[in-house]
Amino acid sequence: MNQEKEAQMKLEIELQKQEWFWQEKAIVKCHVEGDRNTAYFHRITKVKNASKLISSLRIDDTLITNQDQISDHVVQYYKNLFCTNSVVLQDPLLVHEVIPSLVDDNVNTMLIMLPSHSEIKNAVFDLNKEVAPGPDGFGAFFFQTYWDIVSRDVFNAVIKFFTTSWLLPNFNANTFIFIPKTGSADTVDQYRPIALANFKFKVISKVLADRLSKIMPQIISNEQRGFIQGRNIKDCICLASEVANILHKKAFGGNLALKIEISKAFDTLNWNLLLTILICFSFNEQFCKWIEVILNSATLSISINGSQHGYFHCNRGVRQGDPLSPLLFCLAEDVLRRSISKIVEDGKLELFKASRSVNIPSHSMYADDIMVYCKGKQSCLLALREVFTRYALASGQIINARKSTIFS
Amino acid sequence: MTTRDSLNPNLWCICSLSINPTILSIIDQYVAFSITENNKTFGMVAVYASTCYIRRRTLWHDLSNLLNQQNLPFCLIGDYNTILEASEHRGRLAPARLPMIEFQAWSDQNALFHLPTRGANYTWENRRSGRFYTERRLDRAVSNHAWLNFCNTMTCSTLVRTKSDHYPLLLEFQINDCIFKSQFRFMKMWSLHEGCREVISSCWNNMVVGCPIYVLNKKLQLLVMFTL
Repeated sequence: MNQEKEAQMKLEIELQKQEWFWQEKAIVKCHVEGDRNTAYFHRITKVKNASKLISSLRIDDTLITNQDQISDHVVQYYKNLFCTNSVVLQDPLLVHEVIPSLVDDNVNTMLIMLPSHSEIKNAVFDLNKEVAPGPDGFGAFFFQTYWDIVSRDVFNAVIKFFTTSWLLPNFNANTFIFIPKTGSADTVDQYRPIALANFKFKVISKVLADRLSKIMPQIISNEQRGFIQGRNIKDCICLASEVANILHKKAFGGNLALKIEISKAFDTLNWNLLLTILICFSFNEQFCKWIEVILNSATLSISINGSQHGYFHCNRGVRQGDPLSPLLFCLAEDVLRRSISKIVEDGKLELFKASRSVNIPSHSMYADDIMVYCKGKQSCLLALREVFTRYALASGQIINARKSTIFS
Repeated sequence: MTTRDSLNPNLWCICSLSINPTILSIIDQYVAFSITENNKTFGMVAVYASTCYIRRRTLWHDLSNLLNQQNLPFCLIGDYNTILEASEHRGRLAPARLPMIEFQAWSDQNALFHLPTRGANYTWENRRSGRFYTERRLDRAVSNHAWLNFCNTMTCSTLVRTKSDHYPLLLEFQINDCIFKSQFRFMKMWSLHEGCREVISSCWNNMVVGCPIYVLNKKLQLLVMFTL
């Protein structure tokens, strides 16, 4: 009896191993744990493996199918995107004009404290277990499962960064992978680049992100609804639909809603602007230094069809996949938001008049998607255009005219 | 090669001279042939299924026999004149259920994969305007299990439609043995092995001197070396 039981247990464990193996290969998020799905995972892996490869890419009107050409093209594209940078900040006044100093000493001391043991542990365990690992191959699962063994060294390493603001070169190495935005993506810009960072680095970035996210609601104004605790995308949707209802209301110049979309917003953000903003918000020097080190430490290589290509430093942009990126992006975007509010206060931009008791805000934002509501007077639109031009000069963020629309 | 003597339209397979295919069977609804390239043999089937579902039953039957007899990697491509599920149909009337069930039963019975197609979602339209307009995904490439093991890259895409009411399908595949040496990655299933914890803790107990960031890096590296 006992032997049989033991054998059963062994079989159980082996089967579990097999299932996990195929599950990890198949990367299916919406499966239900229950039956063993090895056959299912196996098939998904097979089909994925065979059909997911980028076998051809379109450049303008020519189609390239050679693997080397494809990888050269992609590496060149992303080198251009991340490495070109106008070193000087072209419109430094803009930031000083609109950003108030909001961060007081109490907050600053909280930000630059050395992280406690529990803070680091929380950061480690908050990160998703299932996410693909970075170039070193150790994902969250490894660190979470063997936390009792590895915790001391992880803790020391994180503390080391916080005391010396220095990172080992290569520590923040990232692999870029490409997720097609649509089923039939055929040019480079139709793939979304996701950076897979080393988990050991992500812990540091997560600790900072956790601290920053606590104070974000006080700093970032209400109109930004992405990535901030307690704010929800649904508010944007409700607002947009309410505004759409009163668009037809008669008014001098007519009512307009402008949907503005910035091309490659995350990847083209200017670091100088970001650091200037941090200083203007009067973040502590130490904190700014950390952010600068983290930005500068990133090295990228690109994974195409399973093999690695290129290895370069980047000069701008925040990487999608780093826990800190969305918050930094929101901070930078706040310049734009505050400049719009400023021209409203100056009376250059006239808003809708719905009814006596209802105020329509001038705009709403979700990450890089902006919706501006104003009257269609020439003076309003000119003022608005000036804001966007200045912001583009300062931040390197260019409006994608093809994806932006005006509703009237 | 063609069949369907008196029937119109005919089913044509055209190939370059160097390929030299061996014909396995020719019946009015399909042409099956095998090709040997670099000492590897694989089978292709060009399908033109009948529009009548009763006659398609013989096709399903014959194809099942063919797949069972020939133990080859097979890819079946063409116009199946039926769909797998209602999502592959757009039009006023709901698609008939019985033909779909039979098609599903056939592909399940032979454990076939329906390869995803890039490009147009529906490959056929009936060219009528207004509410009688109907679109369906009638053309597809289907392969068996051996085919997936056999070639490592394949894409199936629709081309530009000019005269026909169907989109042409283009199946590209490469046969080469090159296998990527995949990167090191800590697999989840290793944690279930009872020796795993000891391996990790033995690596961790190594004395490494240096800056703590370096220490963490080095220990992870040691662990990788151990697994290789």
